[in-house]
Amino acid sequence: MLSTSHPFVTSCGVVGLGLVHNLGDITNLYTAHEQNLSPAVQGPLPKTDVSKLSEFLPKAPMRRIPHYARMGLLAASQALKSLPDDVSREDVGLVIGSAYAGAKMSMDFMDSILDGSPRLSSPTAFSHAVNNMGAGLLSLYLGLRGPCHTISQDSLSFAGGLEIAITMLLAKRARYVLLGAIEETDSRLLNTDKNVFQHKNLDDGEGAVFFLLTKRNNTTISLQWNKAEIFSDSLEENGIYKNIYGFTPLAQAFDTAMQFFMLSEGQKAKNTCCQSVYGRQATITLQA
Amino acid sequence: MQKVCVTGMSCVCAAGTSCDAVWKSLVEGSIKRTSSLVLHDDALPYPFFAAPEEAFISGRRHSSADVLHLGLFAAQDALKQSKITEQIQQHMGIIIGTTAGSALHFLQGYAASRVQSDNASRGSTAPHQTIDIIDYHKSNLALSIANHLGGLGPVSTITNACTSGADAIGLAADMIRNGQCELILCGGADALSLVPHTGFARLMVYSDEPCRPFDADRRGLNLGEGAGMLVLESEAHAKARGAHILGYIAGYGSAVDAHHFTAPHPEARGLAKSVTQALAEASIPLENLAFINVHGTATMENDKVEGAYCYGAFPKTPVWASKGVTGHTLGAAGALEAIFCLMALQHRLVPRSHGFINPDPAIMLKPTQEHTVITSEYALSTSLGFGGGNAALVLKAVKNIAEEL
Repeated sequence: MLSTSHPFVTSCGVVGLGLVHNLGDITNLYTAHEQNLSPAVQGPLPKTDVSKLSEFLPKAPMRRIPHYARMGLLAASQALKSLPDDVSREDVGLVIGSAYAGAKMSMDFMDSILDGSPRLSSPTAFSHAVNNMGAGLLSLYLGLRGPCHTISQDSLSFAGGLEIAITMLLAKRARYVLLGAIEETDSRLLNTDKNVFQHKNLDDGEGAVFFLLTKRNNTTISLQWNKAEIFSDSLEENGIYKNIYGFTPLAQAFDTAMQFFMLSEGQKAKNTCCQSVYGRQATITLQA
Repeated sequence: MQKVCVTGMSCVCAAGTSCDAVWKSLVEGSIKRTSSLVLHDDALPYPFFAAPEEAFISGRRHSSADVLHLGLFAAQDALKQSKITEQIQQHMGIIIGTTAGSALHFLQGYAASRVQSDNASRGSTAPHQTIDIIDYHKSNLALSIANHLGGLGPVSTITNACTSGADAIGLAADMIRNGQCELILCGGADALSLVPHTGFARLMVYSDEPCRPFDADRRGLNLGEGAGMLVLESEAHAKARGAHILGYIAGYGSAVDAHHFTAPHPEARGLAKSVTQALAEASIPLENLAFINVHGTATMENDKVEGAYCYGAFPKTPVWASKGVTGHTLGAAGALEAIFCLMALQHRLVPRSHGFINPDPAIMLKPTQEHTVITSEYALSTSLGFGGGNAALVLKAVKNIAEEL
């Protein structure tokens, strides 16, 4: 594929990882890869289990917040375990990359218009459907008071988020940044896409991945933007391990998490490259 | 630290389709609200500040493409003004904020999908194609503008609700200072459709009357549409290519309240932090601030918190609330208002704040009630967002106004 690269490569250090998926955590995901499991193509996946969130946060308020944010809270809490004790959460920024944000609430809000009328539509669903709902709830429940950003650009949401996280660290706006990607599945959204695009490969894939980043650390993550020629108008299929997690805008975040885990196990990491339908590519490299 | 300058800027909103036209409307107080029936026959009866039809490159499509087209309209104009070469444009970064542009608002497509799913369950499989869902997948703001205009550099669509436009500018300035990119097209864009219009109306924060920021009798916001785009580059880069400098991004601050999901912190904790950061970065004493362009949405909560903070922290600084002329343009607001600040600095004049009549004793703040001549070269622009986000930008005029006077 013909491509041109942006001359600047940005990078920072990786300190910690949190991952939530139908299969469990990063160890379960890696084991599934080793065993060549392919649950995503075996039919609808069960909703991701977030019961371990009670290890980090009180149960009662969590019941009131959407599944999307609960997945994010669990993965972010896991990653925050790597935050040094002497660092205040005031000094931690937050960046979330999410293509669809609160998909269920968005579809609920549209249902409330279609089933009733604008006059009877649900204000609660609307407020939880705003793209930065996840960032707002995570900052609130995790006590993060630094800069807080949400990036929404299809499969390149995680890469866009990484660029912003590195920007914040280089500009000294935060000592640490929680960079995450969250997506939730919703059968109504999936059916809408399938009905329009007649696309056969739209499998469910949901979960959350969070990295705790700082300016420098033993493991570095770097990002380079490229532009490729667009050869077709179809939806791109990205992801090294998509047999495990399916077709999802989370692909690059899951791939990067797998590379981080493999590096920590003493294995060699691969580059993760993701391309959007617009022809833009982002290559993420992890190095020990 | 590298100075980040503005070498191109353009805006489109209900007040006009160029910086000159918008400035004229801001000064004259021209208010052009449009019936919500333009959006849909079933839209709730809350008028909005519609972008002029000519700004929608292929007509209003009631989809994400409307946001993209407003963004492209302003982006092309800003790039033209910056006079960058095609070669530089091919390497620029694109950082743009939006609220509605990236949201799942394809109501027509979803309605058709529901019907199709019903039909499929009865054995009929006639496919459908609706414009809005196809547009959604082709209109991501930053990615699509990069596709249309070139731009190999960093690309991010910022969706921080109402601080998106301001954050896009602040982050773009940071990227240039960090050396991540030499030139960035940044800003914000938003257009309305039935879904976001209905959502804000149902949140009970929307007034059916013209909005009245900081007024004792304010009844809520009016939504608006628009786009504001700026071309940023390092001063050294701009001077090396002989570019005309329009102003500077002198400071940026960003902080989240972490207080409540929808309401701002009662003591403006995050706003105060972001303003303090922005002023410190600009290294200016408070008395050098010519004016503040506030977020001033005319909702009860925003104006109470923001107004009390500004009155307490900047008792002598003129405060300009401009949404009485533009409406609240969501993800575009912070970018449009940064451009308004630069225009005010250029004209050395802060327009009066339209919509304000009666001071609110709970706030004390009185935004500008008449046009005010300014004598210093810095302006502060504040943005508050859903989810507790806050952003502050310090804009600087090209010339030292006080010295010239």
